[in-house]
Amino acid sequence: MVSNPSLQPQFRDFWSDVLPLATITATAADIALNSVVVANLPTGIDIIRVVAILKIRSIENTNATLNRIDASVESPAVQVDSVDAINLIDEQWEVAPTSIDAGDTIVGDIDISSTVTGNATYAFQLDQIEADLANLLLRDVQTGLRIYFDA
Amino acid sequence: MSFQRGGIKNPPAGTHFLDFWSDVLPLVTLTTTPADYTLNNVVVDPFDTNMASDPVRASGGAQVIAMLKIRSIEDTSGVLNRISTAGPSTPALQFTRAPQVSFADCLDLIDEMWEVGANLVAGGDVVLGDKNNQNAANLIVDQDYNFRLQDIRADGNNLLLRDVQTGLRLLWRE
Repeated sequence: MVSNPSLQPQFRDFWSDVLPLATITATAADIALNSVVVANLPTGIDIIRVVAILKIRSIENTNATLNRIDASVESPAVQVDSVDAINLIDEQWEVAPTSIDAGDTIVGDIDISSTVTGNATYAFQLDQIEADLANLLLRDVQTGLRIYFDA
Repeated sequence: MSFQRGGIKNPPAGTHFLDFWSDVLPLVTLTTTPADYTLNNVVVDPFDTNMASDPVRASGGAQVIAMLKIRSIEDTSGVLNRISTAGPSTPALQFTRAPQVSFADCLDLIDEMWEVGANLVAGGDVVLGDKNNQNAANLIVDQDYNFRLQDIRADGNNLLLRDVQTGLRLLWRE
């Protein structure tokens, strides 16, 4: 392995409690998710990158027509303290009529280290999210933060 | 599951890594005809202003592996369906540093992989590549990396991959 003296990143993951149900309707709305508490980070560290994580056990479509996320008007996202952390995409989470599909775990591609700066409680929400039809049910939703730091 | 140090997926002590993921691609539709499918790009952010332009450096030992995540897989053919290498096709996940056009294999896709019952939806998959793509990628921060499924086909029409994400794991030893 090569030596890289400039960076020795370590990481810690922090998770919320489980939220049993988030109901996405056909009207764009903000849906509060559980907060993540970041505590006991080592002192003197340099946070170099933070990404959000969203975990969903299963996705149910209660409509008799195929259903999925509608991002044709709004730009839904998972937000941390009102800052976009994971982009949610048009036609994502497609589920057949009146059926239950597998859930998902998404690791964000947005560095939110300017928002998550240390020990604190961070609020999560699904911002301006809507489905094609009422309703799309997200079951057992957990949110998380992965904090990479240089000790 | 046992934890064994020393492999690419279980790095030895003193190894550091950073993961980078793409946005979600809602749907990839595999047919019975071998084809290439463009997946979403992965951006390796300039995550540390003090580090060299190449986070894993050019010399040997550092590792770059690709990751592929699929939320669910659906068969719409009405018959048991799965990946096929008949034809022949040699399917693989490939990536390259944009805007290069010379893609490198980073994850082999195997005959009979992702088998799904007739007209059923099955759970997806997270697959970590077994190839070290350090040299092929020549990783440089603040760059886009293009991904594609290359020369891939299914037994029947169609096999749907839902909510596909691609990722890169950069590892180096301190």
